[in-house]
Amino acid sequence: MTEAPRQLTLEEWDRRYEQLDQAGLIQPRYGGRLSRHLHDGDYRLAKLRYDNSPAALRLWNFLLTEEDRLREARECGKRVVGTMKDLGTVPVIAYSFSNLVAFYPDGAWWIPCVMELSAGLLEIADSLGIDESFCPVRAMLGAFVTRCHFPVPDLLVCSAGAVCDDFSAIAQRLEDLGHRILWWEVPHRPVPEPNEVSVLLPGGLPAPERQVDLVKSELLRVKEALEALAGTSLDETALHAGIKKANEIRRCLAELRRLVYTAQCCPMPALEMLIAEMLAIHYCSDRDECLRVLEALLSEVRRRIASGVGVLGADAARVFWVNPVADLRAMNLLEACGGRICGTEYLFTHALDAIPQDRPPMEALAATALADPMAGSSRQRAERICRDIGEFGAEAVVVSRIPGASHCALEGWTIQEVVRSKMDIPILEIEVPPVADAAGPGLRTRLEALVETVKRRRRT
Amino acid sequence: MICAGIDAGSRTIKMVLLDSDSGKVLGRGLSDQGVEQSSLAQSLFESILNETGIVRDEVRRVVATGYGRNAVEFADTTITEITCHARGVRHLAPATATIVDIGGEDSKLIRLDGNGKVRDFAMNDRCAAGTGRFLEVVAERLATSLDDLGAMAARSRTPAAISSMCVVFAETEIIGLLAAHTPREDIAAGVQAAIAARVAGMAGRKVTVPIVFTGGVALVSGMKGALESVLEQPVEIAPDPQMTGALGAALLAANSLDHSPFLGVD
Amino acid sequence: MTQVLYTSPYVPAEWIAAHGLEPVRVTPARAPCVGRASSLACRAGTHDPSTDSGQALRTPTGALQTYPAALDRQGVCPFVRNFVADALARSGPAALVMTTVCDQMRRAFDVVTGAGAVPAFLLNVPSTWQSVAVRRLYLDELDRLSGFLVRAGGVRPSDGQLIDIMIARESEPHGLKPILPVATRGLRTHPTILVALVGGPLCQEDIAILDLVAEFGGYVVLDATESGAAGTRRRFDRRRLREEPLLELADAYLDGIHDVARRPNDEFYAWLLRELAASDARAVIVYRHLWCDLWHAEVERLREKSGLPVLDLDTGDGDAIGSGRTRTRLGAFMEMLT
Repeated sequence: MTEAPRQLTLEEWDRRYEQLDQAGLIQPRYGGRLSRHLHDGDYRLAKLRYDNSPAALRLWNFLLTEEDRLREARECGKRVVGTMKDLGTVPVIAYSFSNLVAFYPDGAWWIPCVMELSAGLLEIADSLGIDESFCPVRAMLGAFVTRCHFPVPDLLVCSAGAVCDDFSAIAQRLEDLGHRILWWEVPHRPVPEPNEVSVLLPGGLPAPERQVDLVKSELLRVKEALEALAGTSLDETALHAGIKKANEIRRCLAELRRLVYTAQCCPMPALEMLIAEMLAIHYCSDRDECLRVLEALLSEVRRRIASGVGVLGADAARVFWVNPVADLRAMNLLEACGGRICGTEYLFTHALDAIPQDRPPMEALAATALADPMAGSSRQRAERICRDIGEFGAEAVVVSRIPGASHCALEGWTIQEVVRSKMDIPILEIEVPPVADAAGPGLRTRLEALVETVKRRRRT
Repeated sequence: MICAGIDAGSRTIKMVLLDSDSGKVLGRGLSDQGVEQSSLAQSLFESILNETGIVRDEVRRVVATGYGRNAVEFADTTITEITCHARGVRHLAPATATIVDIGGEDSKLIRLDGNGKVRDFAMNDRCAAGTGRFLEVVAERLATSLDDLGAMAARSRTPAAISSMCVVFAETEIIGLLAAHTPREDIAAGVQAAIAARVAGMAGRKVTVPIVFTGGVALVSGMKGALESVLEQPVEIAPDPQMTGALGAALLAANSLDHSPFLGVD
Repeated sequence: MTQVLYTSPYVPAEWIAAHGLEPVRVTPARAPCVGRASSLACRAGTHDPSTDSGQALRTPTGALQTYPAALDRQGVCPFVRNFVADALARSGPAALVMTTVCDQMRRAFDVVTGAGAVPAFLLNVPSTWQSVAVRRLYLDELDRLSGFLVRAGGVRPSDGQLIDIMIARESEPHGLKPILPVATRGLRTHPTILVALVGGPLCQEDIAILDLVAEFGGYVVLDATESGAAGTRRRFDRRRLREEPLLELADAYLDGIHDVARRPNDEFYAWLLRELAASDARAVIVYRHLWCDLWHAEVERLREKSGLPVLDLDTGDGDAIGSGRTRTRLGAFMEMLT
């Protein structure tokens, strides 16, 4: 039941679902109509536009059923690990154990958007002294208090050091509510001194070798805690296998990104790509299924490219997007304004780059963790952005400032300065709150102006 | 003996004359604030004296409070508005545990102990989106009056989400909502909910009842309901809610005199 | 002597001095947040509009320092802004040492180095403190700092030279005088309301808080700010100092400083509660800079943990001690305690 690629409203998806179902669409256990999630309070879904492929349907259903999977895992006797801030490293270790599942409570930052503030999570954070001058990840506190959005983890692990102050302060507040946290250090990543022994990290970043050693020793503490939780030790073979699996997902995503962001005609919308990229961090609590979901998406993209079709016109302005948005609708908005995503930097490039498989596993994971864009200087982050802009052929950049995030005020400036000096393409800085309806017209004006600028530059 | 309390707020000046022996309010008045704060306060004082037939020498003690308290040159002393609001509300509703005060340019949440004394307080004067100023801006944008804004909000079925912390940007959001044909009723209700949410943000986890609502914004219909909704507790509007600070100042002036037969010791 | 400027308590003055350089801890002055660069330049009569990547400040020695305009953006911590502006406005510093203790200072380092105004070094200060490896990180950082100081004109000291400097500066804790002249003990019989000041680093003008508290009938009996007792290294162990001076230097700072930004920060609270009890403080004033998440998040916790009345006093550039909003808050707080 193939139809031309296009974006659908939720209502339209219901009708398409009927057709697909009657045509014998085979779905995973968590499949079904997208609109059913509205009944769980995910009201934002009614205002989004979705890709019309069965692969996208599967992606969305996979995302929106993570809570069920976590609860099932616990009922099956698995232990639940809440891993916070490191964005992509600790889950690789956790999923190397057969009886552990890991997830990011940080992901609660989407809940105020998806539930259109109806869950009251931000109000709970307010009441704990964490008001809107902090970034939207403060919703996590509310989710822990209500216990409605994920099971309370058996172990909480959080990286500290070269992370954002907002998150660090929020996590400390969480610990004070009685949720003990295993903290581990990710130090700031300096440029190696001339006389220092240095190594290259994934993504090509140099770092002092001693820092990799430090992170490795910290990750060993995490591994020991996971072993204690799992009741079994983790040998190198199992960890190697875990890294291999993680890399399969990362390679799949890398190919998906390459194809989508360089295709002449955009084969997959920005919103589905955002969700897909996020899977690299957390696997949506099922690593094997995560890979199958991404492979299905990749097949669809390949099919569309081979057919020369896409969801947007070929003249869409090619935009590189920096930082994740709290309101998913912003991704739709860019496309409605005549833009398309050609490259992203959502603060977790280290979770997209392959983990070295030719090094001892803990060392490889340490190198990966240290490659976190947040651990290094804003300039290094900006240079990676420039490199990816070149690779994907982006014509403009949107730096989406995260409301309340302590790093954004100065980091955004440095990124703009570096990109301006190296790439000579227009840059727009915006700020997107968790529910951006009221800000929508203002955002639209800015994004439309950016698209117009890109198109005018093409003519000259 | 007669005492006076003057609340020199950011938008209005309020004044109360009190008989410290009986506790009876002898006179009250209100005028707009302006550049010449001292003379405006003086004019209001003289006007109330004229209305009540009381001569200046009969007024034994004057306490000034509010943002412009130090500009009231004829005051004997100054006391902050937090203490004065608490004193005024305690007089009017002795069992009060929490005061929500929303004025023109700031908002406050004051917690009282069992004796009616201030136990704790929080103030917002950085974000105008939590104040009466925001309501004025919105009323203007929606081409209505402050008086009618509440009635308009009451007709809303789906209040709009107003996200911005800053009144300037919130105003931009409202323009955007209007451009997107969002019903004015929903915008009005969204704004009231946003103000209430910011006040609730100051409240922390423990909001003890009874809650009394003071300040000029308490007179805007719909705000009481918006507060009740976010605090999930009943809220009572203080009698004459704009005057509680001035009343408290007058009571504290009376307390500072040697004898205060009905007031007890503060 | 060539000056090395810094503000964080984690920067060991002894180490800089042992390299033959002059450590200068900057306690910045507050300035209006709007047009900060212009106001600084105008103050010195040296505004040079010719540069476009920031505002130019011509120092008395003629050196042109570039003040990064990025620091005037909304959301930037006023202390960070003031520190950078103050440091760049001084004449002839050889170098600037900043630290990773907060996000904003870390990002400001990027901005400063991007502007190329002055050689700058970012000292990595660990957030956790449980593991030996993490303590080693700080020691390694001092080694890396040494390389920077040498490039700035210093000479790597011998153990003997470091020992001499450490002993010489022992009477003057980390080479600094506390900003607030607060007596921390022996005031139990003081007739006024004793309050403790807790929070982030102070600016020059913040000394006025002592007078303001006194005006309202109080007395600051404990300065547990980063500029005060919380940010003071412990005394050196004389025996260990002679055996392993650099190790002792590192430990004196890591163990002596009580940092709310550590994860977890139990140790900070254990120390603070001890100090509060010893000082007989009846109430706490949390003094924090606008946009400082690390301190903002602690206000409710401090209230819960101390059981004392807590005043949350946030200050921006325009909120000097004595401004209306500060006076009202502090006045109401003291009235509440009376």
